[in-house]
Amino acid sequence: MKSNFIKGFSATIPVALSVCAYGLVLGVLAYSKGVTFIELLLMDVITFAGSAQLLMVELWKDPLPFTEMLFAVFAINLRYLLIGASLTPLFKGSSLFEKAALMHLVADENWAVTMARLKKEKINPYFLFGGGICLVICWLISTLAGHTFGFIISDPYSAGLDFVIIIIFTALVASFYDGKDSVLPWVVAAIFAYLSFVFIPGKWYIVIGGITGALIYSIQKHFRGVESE
Amino acid sequence: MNDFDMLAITLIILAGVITYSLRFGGLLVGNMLSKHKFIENLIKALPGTLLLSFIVPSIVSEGVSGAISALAAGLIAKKTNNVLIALVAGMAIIILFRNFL
Repeated sequence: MKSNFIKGFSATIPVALSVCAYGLVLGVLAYSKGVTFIELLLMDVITFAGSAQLLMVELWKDPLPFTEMLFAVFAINLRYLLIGASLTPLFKGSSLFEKAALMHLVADENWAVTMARLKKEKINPYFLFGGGICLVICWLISTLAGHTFGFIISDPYSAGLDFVIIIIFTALVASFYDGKDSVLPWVVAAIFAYLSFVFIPGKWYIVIGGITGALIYSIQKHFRGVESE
Repeated sequence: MNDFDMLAITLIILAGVITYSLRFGGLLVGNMLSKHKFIENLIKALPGTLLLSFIVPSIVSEGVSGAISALAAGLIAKKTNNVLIALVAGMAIIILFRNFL
């Protein structure tokens, strides 16, 4: 068990370094949006999900858009259902308690490292957990450092700080692009998002655009699947 | 503690509960999900469409510079698989436009 933990921890170090850069940016943004040190610390430990935290920080203002924020967190983290499901073989034979305890620190990065390793050798859930501990340490250090030194940026607008999230998300969106299957869903998502942004108050455009686009993807796949059968 | 702080802490805890339920729930329902192709596809497509919906209004509001910056960042990210390089390039364009043009 111990060796699996250490193996997982060290195998995750390279991706953890790039997670640090992301965390630093999140910390600076959180500071500029008025999220306190303690709130950021709690988010890091309790939610522990990069893109959901970025979304929360971006939507952070007084009064807090409570419902929109929780919907957005739910929708962006829905992929964890699939990530969790894909880990079933790794947890074969684990007790319910072990499953409950070790699943909290599952993020995209240590999941990917674990799945890649699982193809090559027999590992147990502590490999995944070791990776999670490595990530949470880097995450805490980098986000809180960003928050602490956020004051250095005196003019957030000229520094383009409000656009950092947009660029990061654009880069992430590009990595989700999966050939021409994505074209129609994405066009629909963009149109619905923009129309909702203009006509519906609040931050609902994120959820509305996201769900309509994803529905189009599923429907499109469904009919293609039927055709080929 | 004022109302805003109370609400903020509640929000953070609820966001954590939601995220944890999805992580743990996924493991518990396991293979049941993959039997429903439609739902599996929906969940698979959601992160991309959601993030796209998030960025579109901001890019449109920013105008031409926003579009150029986003396009550059997206292409670089796709080609290099490196978010950091894409971020530096995209930000350079925005900062240039906002300060010098």
